[in-house]
Amino acid sequence: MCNLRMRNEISSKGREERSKALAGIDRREFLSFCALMSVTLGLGPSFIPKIAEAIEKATRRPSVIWLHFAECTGDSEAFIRSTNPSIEELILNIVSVDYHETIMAASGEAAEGALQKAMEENRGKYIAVCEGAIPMGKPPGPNTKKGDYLTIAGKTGIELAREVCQDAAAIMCVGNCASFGGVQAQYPNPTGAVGVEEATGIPTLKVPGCPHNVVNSVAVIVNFLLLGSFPKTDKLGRPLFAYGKRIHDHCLRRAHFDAGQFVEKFGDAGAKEKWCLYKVGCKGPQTYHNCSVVEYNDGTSWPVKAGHGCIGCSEPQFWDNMSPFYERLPNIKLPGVEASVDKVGFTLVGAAAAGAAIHGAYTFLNRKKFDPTINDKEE
Amino acid sequence: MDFITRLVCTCNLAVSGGDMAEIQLNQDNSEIYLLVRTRSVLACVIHWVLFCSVITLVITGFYIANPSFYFGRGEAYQAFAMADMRYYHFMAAMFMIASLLSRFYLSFTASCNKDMKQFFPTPKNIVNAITLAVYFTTGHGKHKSYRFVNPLGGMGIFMMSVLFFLMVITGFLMYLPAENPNTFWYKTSFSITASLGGLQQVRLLHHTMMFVIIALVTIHVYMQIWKNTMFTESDISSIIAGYKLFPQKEIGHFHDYYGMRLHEKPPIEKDVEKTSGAVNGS
Repeated sequence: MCNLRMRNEISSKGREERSKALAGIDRREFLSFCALMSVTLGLGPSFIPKIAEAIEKATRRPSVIWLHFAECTGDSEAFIRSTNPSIEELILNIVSVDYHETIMAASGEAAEGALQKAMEENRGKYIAVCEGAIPMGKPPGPNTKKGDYLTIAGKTGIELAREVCQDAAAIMCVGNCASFGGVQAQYPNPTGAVGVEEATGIPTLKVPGCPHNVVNSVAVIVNFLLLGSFPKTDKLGRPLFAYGKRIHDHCLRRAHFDAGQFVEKFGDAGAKEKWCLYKVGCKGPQTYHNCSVVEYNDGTSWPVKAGHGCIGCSEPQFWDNMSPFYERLPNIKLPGVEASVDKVGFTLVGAAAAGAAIHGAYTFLNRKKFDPTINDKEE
Repeated sequence: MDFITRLVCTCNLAVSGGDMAEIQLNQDNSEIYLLVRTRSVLACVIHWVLFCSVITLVITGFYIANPSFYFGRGEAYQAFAMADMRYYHFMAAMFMIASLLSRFYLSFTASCNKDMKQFFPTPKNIVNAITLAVYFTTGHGKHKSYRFVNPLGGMGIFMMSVLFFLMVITGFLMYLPAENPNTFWYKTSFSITASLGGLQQVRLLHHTMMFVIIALVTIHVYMQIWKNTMFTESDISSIIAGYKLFPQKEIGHFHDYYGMRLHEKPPIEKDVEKTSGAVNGS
């Protein structure tokens, strides 16, 4: 993969060639960004000039309204804290982030005014980016209504989401919370949190992850600039260019999986050899994401590279489905008992064998009751 | 009559290709036994192909779930332990699918006596199965001889077939995500997986159902050995060579009511006295 941190002395010579829209970014970095986008979108090298052209000639900067719901702002952090500042500038140059609760300077009525203004000026044209789950439950106590667990400027989360999303050209959910509900939607889910699509009933494009990978959300925006639409998605609404393959399919430790070389516990000899983390609960084979290809923070690292198994953060309900995180399989929950599937299974087989043994002993002792030949006296 | 004798008799008949034979085991015992064909040789072969593939699937499946008894030695490029195991698992799965499909087809032909109805939980089958189960556990009731599959076995085989079908489905759900995302199979498997709650739940289902199958196989093997010991009809021979052994007087009282019936009326009594010797291919 192209590494965005690659800098070259020669690149300074091409600085005159930069376009006005991309002030402050050198040509080499810009082209390597275009190459990264092209590869991430699965378009191949022939699309690099087309992507460069689409970004340079983007006269209409798409307006972005960024909404925060029940979440930790981790996705905003991921979005604005790229290690290479030029990419951040690039993102802010190609899109116009008109409303973002965390990074905007305005507050109070000025902030609300900015939201209303952005919505009215770009009605039907703006991209709504949602971050965080929407609580749908009714808090206990008098004078409460449904969705009161989250209130921004006097509006509940669900009202705000409906208001902004119904006039948007496209809705992008970043992070697992906005996509599928995230950690607050897990059992017992006291606030009744759900993803944005489920709450509003409007189809959204989802870029799940905890946090999401900025390369993917930027690639979605580049796809929007290039073709005027969001990319093709899978059945859950995740773009196929990033979520079409499992982590396991392109994992850097895959060779050790096929070789049968596994980390038995963290810190052992296998872990030092960077063997496969399958036996310590890596959920890479069950998780659709492109971490193993683009990695995080401009290609610095990602969990499996750092020696920790995948926890499946781009899958729906991963806190419930993928836990225990350090076991291969989830536990079986029977009424009153929670046990590992092997325990349940061997108990079942043991019960069958014990039943057979008891039956054998009983019938052997009472073998006279069993007529070896047919009883045809009635015939 | 011991197991080996029965097996030798049935195998002899299978080689000679007969449909039915009379044998008398010792001169003192006037009882004449009849070897009666229950299924074709092909059906027997399919059963043992299925047996071998299930054994392979269970062993390799345990390895894939918890790779602990076979290790990759040396550098990664020198070892191929997990990939080998997965390869055998997939190959055995293909054999299993082939044997299940061909057995399903044979159930509509004379080769297996058009026995499809025996394996469906119709009220009649369920009542017969419960009656038989009560007799097998307590000895109360009447011993009924079934020439083909008995209703209790039929219900067990029905449960196994459903589980095998689900195992094949969940197996493919875990196999197909490596395909190209634009293919029909990828999209179909993705939709089914998503409705089941993701690949992790599919994996759990696949693993849990394996234990249920092992439990059912344990009961199946035990019941066959038990029946072979307790009663004269020899079930184990019938799956190896395709013939069951019945006392001649029982032939008229088969309780099978499905499929081809070789003997609508009992065989002629006068022939019983004349026959002697080991095996006569008819």
